[in-house]
Amino acid sequence: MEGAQLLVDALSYRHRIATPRLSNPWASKAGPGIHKISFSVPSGSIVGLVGPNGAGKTTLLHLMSGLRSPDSGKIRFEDNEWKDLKSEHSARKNIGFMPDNVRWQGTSTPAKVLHRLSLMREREVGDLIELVGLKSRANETLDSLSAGMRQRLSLAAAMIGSPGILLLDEPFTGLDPVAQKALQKLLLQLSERGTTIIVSSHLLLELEAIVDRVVLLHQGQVIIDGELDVVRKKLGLDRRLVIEGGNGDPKEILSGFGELIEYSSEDGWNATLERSDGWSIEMRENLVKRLYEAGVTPYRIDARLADLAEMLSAATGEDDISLTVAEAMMVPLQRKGVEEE
Amino acid sequence: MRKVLALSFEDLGQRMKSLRMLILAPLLTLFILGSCWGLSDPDAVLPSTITADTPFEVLFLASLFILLSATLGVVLFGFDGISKARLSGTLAIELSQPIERKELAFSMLFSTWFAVALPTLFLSLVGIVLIRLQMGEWIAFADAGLFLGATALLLFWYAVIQMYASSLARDMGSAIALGIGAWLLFTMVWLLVTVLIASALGVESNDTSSAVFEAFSAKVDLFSPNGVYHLLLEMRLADDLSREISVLWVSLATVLWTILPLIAFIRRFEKISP
Repeated sequence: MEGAQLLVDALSYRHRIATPRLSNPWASKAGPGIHKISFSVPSGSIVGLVGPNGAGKTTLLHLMSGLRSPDSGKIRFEDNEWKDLKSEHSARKNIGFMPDNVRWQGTSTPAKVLHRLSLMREREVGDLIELVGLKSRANETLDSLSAGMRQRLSLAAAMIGSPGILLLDEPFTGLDPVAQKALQKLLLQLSERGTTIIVSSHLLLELEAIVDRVVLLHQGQVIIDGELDVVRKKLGLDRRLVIEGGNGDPKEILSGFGELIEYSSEDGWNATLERSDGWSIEMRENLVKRLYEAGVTPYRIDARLADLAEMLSAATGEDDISLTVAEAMMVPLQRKGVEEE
Repeated sequence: MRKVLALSFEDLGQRMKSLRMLILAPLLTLFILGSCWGLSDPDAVLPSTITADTPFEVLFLASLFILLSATLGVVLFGFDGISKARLSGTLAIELSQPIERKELAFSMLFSTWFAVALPTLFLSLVGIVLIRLQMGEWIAFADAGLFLGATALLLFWYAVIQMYASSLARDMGSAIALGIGAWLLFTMVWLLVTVLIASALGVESNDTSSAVFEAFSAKVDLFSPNGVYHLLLEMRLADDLSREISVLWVSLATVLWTILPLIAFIRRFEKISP
C-alpha cells in the first residue's frame, strides 16, 4: 500500500428501500449496497471497476464522489482522510465525477453548462470543450446534442478544474468507435500527467485497453483487485494455452498434456488447454514434438491471456469457464443491525 | 453568498429566455396591469361589496390577481426545479461539485423566486403608475413598500414550497401533482378548508361574510401563505375593510412561513440522493 495516492478503507453503505405503510408512510428497510470495500490506487493509475449488474459499482462511485454518505469506512487521499465526502465539500475539489447516462436537455448550451459548473468549482473551463471534441457544438442547445455528444459534455464537466481523481461511470457508453478510441487516448494522457482515474464500464474490451489495475466487484464486495496480470494469476487464468493446426485430429494427444477446455475440429482444429502448473517452454516443446510425431502440424501456439470478461466470470463463479470461486469470496452481505423482511 | 447569487443569476438568465417565461409574461402583464388599470378606473362598476376608493384599496384588490397569476408562475418554474435535474442525472454532477449543498439549494431557490418575483414586482410598479394616472394620486410610500415586500415574500414562500415538493418527486407525474396540488390547496380550496374546520369546531359558517366567521377565517388564514399575505396587506386597510386579528399573530406567521419551510427544504436538500 506504500505510495498509494487513494485508499478506500472498509467502505460500507446500504440503500434504504421505501416500504410505505398506512401506519408509517416513511417506513423503509435496508436494501442492497456495498460491504467493507477496500482497495488502493497508486497515483496516476487507471483502475477498472468491473462487476455484473447490481454489483455496487455505481454506489461505490457515489460514495467516492460525495453523493452519498457511507455507513462506515473512510477514504484517504494524499495526506487527508475523510469519513464522509458528502459533508466535506472542499475535499471534492480533488474529485471529478462523470455519472452514467446523463440526459442533458433544454435550451442551454454546453458552454453555458460548463460555465455554471466552473462557478461552483471556482475554476476556469479553459479548453475543455475543444479537448472533448465539442468545440463546433459549444453554443448549440443541449436538445440538439446526440447521445455521444452528451457523454462528451459529461466528461468535460468531470474534468473542470483538473481534479486529481476522475471517477467515470460507464464513460464509453454511447460513444462511436472513433470517440471511444479518442477517450481511451485522453484517459491515458491524463493518467500520464498524474491523474488517478477510476472507470466503471461494461464495455470490457475498451476498459481492458487502458486499465493498469482492476477491482472486481460482486454482490457489493471486492472479490479480487490488483494489476491485471496479478489478478489473472490469482484467478488461475494464466494457465491456458491456445493451439491451432490444419490437419489431423489430435484430441487425445492434447488431452494427455492438460485439461482440454475447448476443442473444435471443424475446418482444421483448435484447442484451449489448461495446466495447473502453467506452461513451461520445455512442456510446450514436448507438446509440439508429440504433435509432429503424430503427423499433425500446429501452426499457432499461444499462451492465452484471459480477458476481463473471463476474469469476471471466474471471479463471480457465474460461468464454469474457470476455477471455482472460493466460498469465502462469496459471503453474502452482512446485515447491518436491521432484520430484513 | 457571492457564489450563490452568481449561480442564481446564471440560472435566471436561462429562465428569462425560456418558453415558460413566454407563457407567464403575458399572463402577469394582463392580470397585474389589467387589474390595476381596470379597478382604478373611475367609471368602473364594481359589486357593492367591493370597495376601491383609494390607491391602496385598488392595489389590495389587484393582489387577488397576483395570487392567481404570479403564484401559478412559481409553480410553473418550480415544480420540476429539482426533480428534472434529478431525473436527467445533472443533479448528480452538481451535487458532486465542491460547493456546500446549502449553497446549491439557495441558488436553485433564488433563481426560481427571482424568475417570477422580478417581473411581478416590476409590473406592480407599473401598476402603481397606472393607478396614479387613473385616480390622480400616488399610493403612500409605506403602502407601496408593504405591498411590494409582501408580494415578494408570498412568492418566496411559494418558491420554497415548490422546491421542497420538487425535491420529493422522483418522476415528472408526481412533480406536477405535488406542485399543482400545493397551489390548488392554498389558492382554490382554502375557503372550503376554512369552512370545514369552522363546521368541525362549531363556528357558524353558513354566512361567510359574518363578523364571527371573518374573525375565525383570519386565524385559519395564518396557516396559509395566501392568507398571511392578505392579512399583511389588510394591516394598511381601513378598520371596516380588514379582519380582526392581532398584528403580532400576523408578524409571527410571516416569520414562521419564511423560516420553517426554508429550514425543511434546506434539510431535505442536504440529504437528497441523486
